[in-house]
Amino acid sequence: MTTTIQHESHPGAESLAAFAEQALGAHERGQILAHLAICSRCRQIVALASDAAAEAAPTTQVAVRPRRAWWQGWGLALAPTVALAATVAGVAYLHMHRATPDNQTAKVEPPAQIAPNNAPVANTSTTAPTANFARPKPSNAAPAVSSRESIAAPHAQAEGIIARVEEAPAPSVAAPAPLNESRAVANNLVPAPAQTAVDAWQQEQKSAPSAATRVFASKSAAPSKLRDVQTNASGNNALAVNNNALTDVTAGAAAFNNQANSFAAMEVAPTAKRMKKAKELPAILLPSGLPAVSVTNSGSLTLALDATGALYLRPLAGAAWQRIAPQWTGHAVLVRRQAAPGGQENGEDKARSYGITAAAPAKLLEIVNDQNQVWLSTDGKTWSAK
Amino acid sequence: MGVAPAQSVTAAEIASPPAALDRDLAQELWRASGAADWDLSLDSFSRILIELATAANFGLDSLSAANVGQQSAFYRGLHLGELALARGCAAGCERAWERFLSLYRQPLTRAAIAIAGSETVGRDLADQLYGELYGLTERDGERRSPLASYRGRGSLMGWLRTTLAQRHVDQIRRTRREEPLEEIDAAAPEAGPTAQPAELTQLERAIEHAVAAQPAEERFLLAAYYLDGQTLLQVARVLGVSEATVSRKLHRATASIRKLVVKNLERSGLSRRAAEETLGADPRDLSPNLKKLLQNPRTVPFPEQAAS
Repeated sequence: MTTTIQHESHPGAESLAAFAEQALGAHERGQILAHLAICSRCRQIVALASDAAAEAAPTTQVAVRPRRAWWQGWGLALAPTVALAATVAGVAYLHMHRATPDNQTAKVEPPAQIAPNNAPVANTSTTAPTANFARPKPSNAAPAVSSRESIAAPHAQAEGIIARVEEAPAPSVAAPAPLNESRAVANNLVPAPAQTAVDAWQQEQKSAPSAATRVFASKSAAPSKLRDVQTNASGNNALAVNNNALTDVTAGAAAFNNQANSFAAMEVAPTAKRMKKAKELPAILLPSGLPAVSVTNSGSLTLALDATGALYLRPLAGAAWQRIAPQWTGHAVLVRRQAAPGGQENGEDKARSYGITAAAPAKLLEIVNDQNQVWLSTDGKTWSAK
Repeated sequence: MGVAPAQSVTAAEIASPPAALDRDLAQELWRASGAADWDLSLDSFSRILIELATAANFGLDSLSAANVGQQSAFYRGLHLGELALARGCAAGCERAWERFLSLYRQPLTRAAIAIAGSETVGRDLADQLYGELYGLTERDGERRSPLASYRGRGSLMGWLRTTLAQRHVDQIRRTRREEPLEEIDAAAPEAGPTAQPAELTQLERAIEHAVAAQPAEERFLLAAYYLDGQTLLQVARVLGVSEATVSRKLHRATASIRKLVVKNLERSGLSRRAAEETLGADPRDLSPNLKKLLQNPRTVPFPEQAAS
């Protein structure tokens, strides 16, 4: 046992310090332990020194050798690695969330079977905020949108499509638009006030769980509406937007849920080809000089609303638009064919639930104002309150 | 000239220090230590290494002899840079002192404050040690620095902290002894030896023996935890283990003592049931001094054991 000048019968500071630092061999350690077991003075010394070491540990470590974070060792490889990882994660996410919806839509998507070139072709569905939802309802007043919609829909890619469509010029289109193209067009048709309202709604949703949710909500998941978009290939750029009010407008909650699911499915996985075509789809310019914000058709009849709520009717494809005098109160925000009652799912409903409906003649038409009041018409010219 | 391999050596060879350090190894260690910066030549540094290795017998017990590998591992395990710096300071090298100051002055003061628990006392303690380290004390006309006793087994900072703690504890103990009598609580007069039941006497002896039979580490644990009132964390720091480990060891030690006590009682003639009942005695009726027991493991063996 080592000794010091002062402490003849105690281990020296050297031995005690080495013991506290676990630097001694088994033999020496055993000797020190045996001494510590019987010597309160040395126990006290070791305890005090250990406490002081523990207090000084952080500063000492930093001063002696700053520890490098694990990622610092990656150096320049970090940025590309992170980018690659993000890309892989994004692709995996898209892949996982598009698989089921694609399968579902693939059953009914071929437009040739449903819509010949000279007939209203595709009834594509999407969700878009409308003016009467400018102030978004709280979540308990939101439509009975399935959780799948809220989960599957957040989609940066959809955001990208929409942004590009909004920037794109409006060339004419002769071909039927695929589903997601129509959805993109529908978003393009959102009027400025409504879009402003949507922006406000986005602002309110900033406390939402994720940015992805906000993206989805702003572009496709309006608080309580879904919109069916029909592309009429018989006209140059005839688009029929068939809106389905959800909760308090229609009674068919079950049918809506089916639709919501399929719409949510369509929200995801737009292919690059569709994205490219979506850019080419034009907006409908009405005689007011404003683009149509809501369009529907019934046979050869096409109805369109502009941002001011003015209703225009076109009896035949290619004919001139006629303005219909307002016979309703408030600000018309939506024109559509009447939704199927009672949530019964006949063949057409099922087809529409997949986002595609061949336009059927002589349907009851509806106008919805910003108070969610509904007016009905069979010819588009004469309207009566529902 | 290499270190003599000493796989099987005689007692004389064990007692004698290694004649010399392998030249290549010595040069490697000398370079690694940076001793040249503090005016320590290769020879003087080699002498220091040999001296401290001999004193510690390369970390082995006094009856074992270190082979070449053990010797080399011992040398390489030293804090060579700090050892060279300390020896340079002790030799009066100004550059070494400057380096020492820049590296250790502030940590030394902080450690002293932490140990003393008071900034004033801590600074005094640090200044006092610093003066000592600088070699203000003279012995036989020579300045002596405690740094000359640093052997590089642990870190220099650890050595400084422990030295500070030593000074502080000794100072407190000395002060206590020097306190005037009136400030010390007068000890109550010890009651004369009272006759106590034979069971209790047996129990006391059984406890004494059980405690004494514990290994050193367990006794250290018991003493640090129960006598000194250290926390599990403090004990864990000293032993370099986790608090949970200390807790487990303590539990195991107390269970072992209890088991041994029962066993010892049974050996002294009590039935198991009677032994268990004896364990339920009020501790206040017992007079064994645990402090004395833990710190003085010499106990009288049980007659039965002595006989066997």
